[in-house]
Amino acid sequence: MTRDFRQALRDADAAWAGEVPGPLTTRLDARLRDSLKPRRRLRWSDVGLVAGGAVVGALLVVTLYRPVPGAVVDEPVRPGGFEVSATAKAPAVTVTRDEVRVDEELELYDAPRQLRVTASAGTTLKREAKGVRLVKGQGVFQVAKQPGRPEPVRVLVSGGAIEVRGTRFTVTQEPDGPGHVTLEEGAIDFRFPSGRVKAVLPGETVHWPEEPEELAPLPVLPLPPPSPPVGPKPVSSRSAAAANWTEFDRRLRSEVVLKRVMALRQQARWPECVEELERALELPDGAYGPGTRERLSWELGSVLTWPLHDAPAACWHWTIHLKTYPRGRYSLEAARAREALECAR
Amino acid sequence: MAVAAQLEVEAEGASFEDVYRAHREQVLGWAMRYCAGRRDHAEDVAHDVFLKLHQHFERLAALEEVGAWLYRVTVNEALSRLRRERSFGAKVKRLFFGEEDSGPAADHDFERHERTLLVERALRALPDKERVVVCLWALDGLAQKDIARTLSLSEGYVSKLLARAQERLAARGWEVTP
Repeated sequence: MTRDFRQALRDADAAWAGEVPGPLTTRLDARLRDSLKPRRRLRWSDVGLVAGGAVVGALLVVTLYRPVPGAVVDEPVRPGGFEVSATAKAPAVTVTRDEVRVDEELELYDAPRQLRVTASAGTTLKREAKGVRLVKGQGVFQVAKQPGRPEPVRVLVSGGAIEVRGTRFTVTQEPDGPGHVTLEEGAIDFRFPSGRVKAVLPGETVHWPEEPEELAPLPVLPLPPPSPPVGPKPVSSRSAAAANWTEFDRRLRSEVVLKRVMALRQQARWPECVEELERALELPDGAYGPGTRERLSWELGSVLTWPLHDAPAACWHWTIHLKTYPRGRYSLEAARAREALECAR
Repeated sequence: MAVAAQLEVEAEGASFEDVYRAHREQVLGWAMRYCAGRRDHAEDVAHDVFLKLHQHFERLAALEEVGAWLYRVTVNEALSRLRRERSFGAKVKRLFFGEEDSGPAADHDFERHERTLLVERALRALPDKERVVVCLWALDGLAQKDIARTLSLSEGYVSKLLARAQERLAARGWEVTP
């Protein structure tokens, strides 16, 4: 049965229209009243107020942080933590936040570290998170003893760091170049970028940059005398010796060899490093702790590949390495190195 | 037409409040029609139409065609509302919060004429544009070219929409006489 849609629609429309007066209209009234409620518009005076506030804020910031040029006032100033000693007579100092450039000799004090420095004219000092850096110039540093302090106070220079626990010393630093420290009293340690630490005695002077230090010779481990051959199969003296090495010997040897290799790497003494590694790899299996031989082999491959670019030797070495340690810790690196060297398969 | 009679009053410096009172029920009626009897949709559409009227009132008060303007804006607002209904966000909202249409109480629905419910169902089953075009054609008695002008569509497209709507309604057992 078909129905007349147009007629039905008209009836429905009439029914809808009948629903309009009543809650629907009342709701619409309320909503519109709410939507058309006058809201406070932004006026020029508001903009002015906000702009004025911003200017005042900016002025405050500038006043608090602007550099202090020329002479410093009578009261001690605290530019980035440094205080100028109250006894100093109107010194010429330029301060930019944590950096101080001294134009005339001046005594400065870094309160958190209890570090007092008499800086010569032309000296630049900088406060850093790790310590006070002598950028250039000369300063006599004095650090109070701080028994509860967990870390030593550090004076940073281009060639390392001076670690202090309460003492007096003079530091001279050329701009970004060499320098030296002379200890007057107490005790300091000088930490070089390589990680080497030099204990400085009173009256001693340490210079930087670090001179390559002669490496300590490899400690010779006492090899037990070769055991007499037992049974039909002869045993080589080295293997026999290796069999008698204790766990302590192996670990010590591993540690020493790796340290030597690291030191040679840091000083970029590549041919010596290769020699050292080759010599180390000649020792039998039992000579090292677990994983050391593989590590040494990887070190040798890396040195031949990257700094020396010795493609034939490196390719040959990586082939042996991958055969010896097919699923080793450095297989991925070895494969990458072979790819970079374009080694033949 | 009742609108034409009211326009004369409006032209003589009537306030927004006066125009709103004069057209409120008519705009709601149109909105109900194009929203296929959904009260909450119709209310939203009417609200937005009168907000627009308020925004443009200074300019429109000088015109003599406020009624025509309201009619056109209601149709277009209803279409936009329907389009928004189909957006992904609206679907997600419906999924989590259910249908918005609270409408009158359920017992009131039962009292509704069965035929009205069937028409609402048939209309809601039509795509948005077809629904509005059918209403403009069947209830307002607009010719295809007038529908095209009102909705800013081509006459050919309107003709196609009408034909499709007729087919859909016929499939549901409705006879649509030209």
